[in-house]
Amino acid sequence: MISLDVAQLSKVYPDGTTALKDVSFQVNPGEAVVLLGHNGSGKSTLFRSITNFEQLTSGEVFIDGEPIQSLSKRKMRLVRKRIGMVFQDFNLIYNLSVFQNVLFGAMGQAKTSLHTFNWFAPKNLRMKAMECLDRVGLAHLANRRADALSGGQQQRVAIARMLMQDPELILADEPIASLDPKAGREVMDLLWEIVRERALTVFCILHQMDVAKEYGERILALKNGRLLFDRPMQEISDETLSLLYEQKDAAKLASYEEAGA
Amino acid sequence: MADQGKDRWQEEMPARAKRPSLGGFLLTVVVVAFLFSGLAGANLSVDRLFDGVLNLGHFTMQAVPPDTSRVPHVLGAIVETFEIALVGTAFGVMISLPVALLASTNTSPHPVVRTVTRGVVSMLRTVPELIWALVFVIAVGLGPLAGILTIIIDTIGFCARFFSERIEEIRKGPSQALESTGATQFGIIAGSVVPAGFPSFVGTSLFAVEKAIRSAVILGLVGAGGIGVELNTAMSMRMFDEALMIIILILIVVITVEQISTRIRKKII
Repeated sequence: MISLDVAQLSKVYPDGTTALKDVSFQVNPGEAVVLLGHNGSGKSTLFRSITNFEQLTSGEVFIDGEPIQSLSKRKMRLVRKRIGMVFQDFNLIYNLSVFQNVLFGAMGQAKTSLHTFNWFAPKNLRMKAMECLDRVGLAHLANRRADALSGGQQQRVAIARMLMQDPELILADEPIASLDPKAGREVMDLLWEIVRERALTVFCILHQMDVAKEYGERILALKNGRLLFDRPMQEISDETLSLLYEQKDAAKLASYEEAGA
Repeated sequence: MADQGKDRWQEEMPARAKRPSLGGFLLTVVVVAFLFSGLAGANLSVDRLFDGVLNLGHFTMQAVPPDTSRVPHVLGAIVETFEIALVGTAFGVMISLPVALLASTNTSPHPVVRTVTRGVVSMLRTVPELIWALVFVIAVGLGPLAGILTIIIDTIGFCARFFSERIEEIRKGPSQALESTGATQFGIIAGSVVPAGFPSFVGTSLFAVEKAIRSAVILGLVGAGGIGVELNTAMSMRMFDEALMIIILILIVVITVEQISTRIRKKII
């Protein structure tokens, strides 16, 4: 079981914008934590910091108690291998086949990267890729080019790619923000089913309050780079949530309502 | 609307033309001077133009009908030209890909490596191909090898630059997705950068083949093998009918290659 510990994270961009200020929280093994926040609240910066894609100004991220910023490249790869990531815009390699995209999920485990290329992939990896695709219900589309699929299907391919990793922790950055409500719901359901059946830990960033309420066991709220609250779902009233979207500026409020709840 | 009149907007209204800067004015004077001096140097006169037209007439009279008697021999030289272009481009493209990876901001191992590689590539491109051909003829002697080496250099100058531009445009997301699986730098490049750029690489390489065929024709003029050698001989021996035949064959080959390459490009992109 993997644990994630974020300690006093701060990030100031070179242009002086403060993206994160003193953010601390823990995600315990087996938990499903949802982070809520509107555009520009620092969500994505936080997401990228967790796997060291973003240089921090101060603070530290611990994975299983190990500070990740000081890890060597090789050790960082070993940590990343255990963490499956799901992105807002899927990040498939669009002119390759669905099957090939899923195979690439094994890059961290295969003997060499070449073993994840369809031409050279060993039979067990090819079988596993088909099983992962089947888990997301897309085995019949394995041969298609990734860009021939709908948005919801592409996100499911991305989830299958992530399953190839056998992740212990799933990080999802707005996995349904680029999808229509119906496809979004299907993706969330699928993701949560997988999390339950494999007893994984999940840290999911969302901006839709209603979706967060439905799936999260614990909710963190980020506002202007600061952690506004961190509570179990049952303790959260609509009033607390409305705090998150409270704005001094009426025009801004309107635009957030459009984008968010 | 009280102060309407002639004087209104005098300050604000833009002038019809801006006064040129001193530098701009001097540059214009220098360029115009070169223009006139150049025209004078060309010794332009009505007589010479008239003679020129007459000479063209003579050339045409002697060249038509084209001499088909040496076609088999000429065809051999054309095939050699085509092979010089193809072999040169193939090796050039193979070298261009790693060079482009070293020269691109997002894939280069170190900024110094990137700057040096870019410098070398633009030097390869800046020196005209005929000069490379002359150098290689001295190095490896007359014949197709000098041509092939020249085309390789020329292709690297062209392809490495465009490959690298494409690589720098590639979206970061997919690479990051692979990185997040624990992939190595090699895996990330082979799995996301190269496939994403592939259609563009193929398109650029096909352009390079077209370019190489035209170059390979010219390279013969300095002895680097191929049809250019034949054309040069025919022209200097004033066998214009044979020269015309060679020119026609060159046209056919160039146009055919361009057609095929256009079709492949349309299919791939």
